[in-house]
Amino acid sequence: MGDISRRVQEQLNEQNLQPTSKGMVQMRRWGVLFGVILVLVLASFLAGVAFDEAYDSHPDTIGRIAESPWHAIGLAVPWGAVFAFLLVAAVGGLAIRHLPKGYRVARLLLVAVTIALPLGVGIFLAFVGLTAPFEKGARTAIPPYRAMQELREDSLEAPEKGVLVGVPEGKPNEEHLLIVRDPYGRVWIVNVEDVEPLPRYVQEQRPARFLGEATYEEETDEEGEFEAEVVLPVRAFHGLHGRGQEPPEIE
Amino acid sequence: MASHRSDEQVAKEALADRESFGVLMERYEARLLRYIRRLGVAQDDADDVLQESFLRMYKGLASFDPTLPFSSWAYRITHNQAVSWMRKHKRPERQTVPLDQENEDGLRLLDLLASDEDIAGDTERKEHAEAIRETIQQLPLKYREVLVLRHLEEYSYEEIGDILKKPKGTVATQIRRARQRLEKELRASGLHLIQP
Repeated sequence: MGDISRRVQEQLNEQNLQPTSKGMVQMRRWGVLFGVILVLVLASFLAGVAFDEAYDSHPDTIGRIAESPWHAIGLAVPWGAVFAFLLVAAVGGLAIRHLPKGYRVARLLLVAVTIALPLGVGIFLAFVGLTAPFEKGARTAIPPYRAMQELREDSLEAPEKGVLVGVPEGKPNEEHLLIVRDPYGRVWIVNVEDVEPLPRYVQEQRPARFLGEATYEEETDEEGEFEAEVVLPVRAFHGLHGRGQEPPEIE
Repeated sequence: MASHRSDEQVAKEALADRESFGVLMERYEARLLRYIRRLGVAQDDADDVLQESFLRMYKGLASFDPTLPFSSWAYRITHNQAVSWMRKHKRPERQTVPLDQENEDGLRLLDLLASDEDIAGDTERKEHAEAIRETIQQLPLKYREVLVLRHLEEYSYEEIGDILKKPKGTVATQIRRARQRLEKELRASGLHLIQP
């Protein structure tokens, strides 16, 4: 027996090494696959949560992306599309794994197709305008968009719906009433129960737009009451009235 | 008694009897060590690479399919270990096969590439053989490995495909390209050989 063989044999005996069982090998492979899928699913959930939080802080930026031709990419992808992509990736991965040995070009092509196909189809559909119903569905899944959509529908039936622009003062009290001073110096008592938790810019007492309905117990020039249904930063306006238009006068 | 049993039979026995694996190691030690060095692993490290290869073979014995040749499986594991070593060390080392083996390798390849009429004498043959061997060391690994397996280890296309996990057609193409590249490098270094 040669030197190397002898050394290996001694090592096998001293460490009492045994061949790894077939079952263990299979378990490792499937475990790795399961781990990869789990990480992808968690990542997509986190991405969705991060997007929701980002929208809450900067809806104007996200809204501009939503109105551009890149809807399919700019909006938060509905969960169905995420899982569809994962399913395609899993099926593609299994197909790649079970290809006969070699076929490197085929493997690379299959990987490229698995990744590019869902994305490419989505972009193509967006360009030809077929994703509008899905975009609408995606928008209505996002809370602020959904609320704006409902408000828009309500405003067509109820003209008294309006917009209050002002600077919050302090924090809401236990009855969910927040003091807001508008640019004309009027003080508004705004019921924010339907829009809590309030976005950070309101908590930081920065200017905000409150979409809702003005209600008065008594008519005065210096004070009013408002029920807020949606709150947006001052610059965000596209969702209700479209870009380039001025907000309506407060009634 | 062990010598009458095939490698595949011994591999199956080694699952239950560790000593049987020693039979396999004994059969393959010299060949695999020579192969590792031909690929370009330094002499001092070739022993470690082979040791690691044997350990992996033993641990993976349960995954070995006895209906396939054990030789291809053993070479595949060894090949992967050697390639992994070379990647860690960034540059392929000079081949460190023993001198008589070097000469034999070079002559074998010379016979492959050259027409007999063009090589006048023994001295010239040895010089050409040395030039060929030196040039092979400079080839990219993907060409070096197929040349070594085909013309020095004398494996068939199918066996090389089993070792490298590539289809037979791809192996044939790579061997052809490897030879063309070798001839091109030799011409560039001033050595003109006429193909048989």
